[in-house]
Amino acid sequence: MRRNRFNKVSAFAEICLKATRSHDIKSSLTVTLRDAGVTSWYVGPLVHESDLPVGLGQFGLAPGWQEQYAEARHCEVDPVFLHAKRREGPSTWGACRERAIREGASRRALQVFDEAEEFDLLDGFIMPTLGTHPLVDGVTFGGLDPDLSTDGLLDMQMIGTYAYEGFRRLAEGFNRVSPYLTPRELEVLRWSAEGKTAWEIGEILHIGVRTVRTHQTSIKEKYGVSTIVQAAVRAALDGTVAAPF
Amino acid sequence: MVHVVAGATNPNCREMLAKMFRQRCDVFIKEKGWKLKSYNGLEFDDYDTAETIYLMQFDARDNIIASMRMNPTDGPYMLADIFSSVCEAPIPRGRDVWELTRGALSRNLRKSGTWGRMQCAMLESALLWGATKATGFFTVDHIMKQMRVGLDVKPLGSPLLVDGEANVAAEFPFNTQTLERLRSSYGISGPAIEHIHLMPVPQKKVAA
Repeated sequence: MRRNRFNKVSAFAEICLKATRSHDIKSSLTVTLRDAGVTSWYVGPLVHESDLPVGLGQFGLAPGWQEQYAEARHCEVDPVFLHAKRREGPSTWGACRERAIREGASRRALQVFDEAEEFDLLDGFIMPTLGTHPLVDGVTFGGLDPDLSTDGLLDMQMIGTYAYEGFRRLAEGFNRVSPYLTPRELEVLRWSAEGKTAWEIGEILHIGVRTVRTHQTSIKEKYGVSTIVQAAVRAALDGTVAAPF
Repeated sequence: MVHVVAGATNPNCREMLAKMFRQRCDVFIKEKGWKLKSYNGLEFDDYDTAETIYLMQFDARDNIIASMRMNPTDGPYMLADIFSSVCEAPIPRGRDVWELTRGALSRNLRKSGTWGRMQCAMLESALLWGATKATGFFTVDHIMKQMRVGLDVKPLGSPLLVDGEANVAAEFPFNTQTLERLRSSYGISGPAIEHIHLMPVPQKKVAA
């Protein structure tokens, strides 16, 4: 049992550390959480989806819930989000709801729980994360009957930590590996990025047009793209060549 | 800047070591309430040995503000001796695997970036000594912070609740790429280590 817990979290951590596409983390997160009775998850800044920075804020929500949540702007009053914004450590939706009632939360705030129930989201887990300044970020998982035992919550905290950092690293290009280019390929790429034709580059570097094209083919293969312009853009983004913009 | 002190009994660093043991007593026993033994206001234990490497950072008045303990794991070490039950993956062991424990930082400096310099010094020391991996029993919150600054932390077991906080045995690699990530995360451009105090080599007595 304990070994199964570890294997599950460890395998997910490995995927998050090595992922090169957010899809890899998303699909693994959905499968990993399914065993714990989680059918909906959100990882990212605790803001309305229209305010999310590019690449941040990943959803695996029950069909229809994401749209309804966004349209009602629940993020502004959701007691679960408010808990994370207070940075008070991991908790359950149930505890957030109880606290909201105790503190006299508005009807609109409590309505979020009622609406979530319509999507079979009866309880869940919330944890604040380090955030991407100036936003407050968090991770939340929910379901009909999620495993909110002590061990279940500890595992969710680990899974949430790796999911959040995995997505954040991808959004920030952390794992983007620049391919190695030979000095000649680098020169060809730099001139290509300047908009020079193969003939012009050949004249500048005192090499034949066919040689230039051979270098360009090699560069495209290394970046896994089909045009030299795409390669130049990728190279500018990963810092291999200075961005022309 | 960070001082590296080799050996708990380093005769050239007695004052620095005493300051560190006093800081550990203040942070771990008085502030955090850990059930540890102390001797005349100093906290030290069986894992403070001649093999231990310490990182220490002092302010302009020579008050200690941060410290960390690093032990090679080819001898006795805490994760293997005390927390082995929390490891489900093979327990890391070797001269080149360092256990990190007793990371202490003055309370008023917890958001100052001081710890970033300590972490860079940790990586620099590891690379200098040829260590390739770190291990330890960390809070999950700490793991998130370590990952944020570029460390690829892998769990070695399931998380466990200790004093109300999730803790987990974990490991991460020491390499130049990680050092670059750390320096970049903290905006540190050069070495964090200011001085290395090696254990003096005993002089052989020469017969008259």
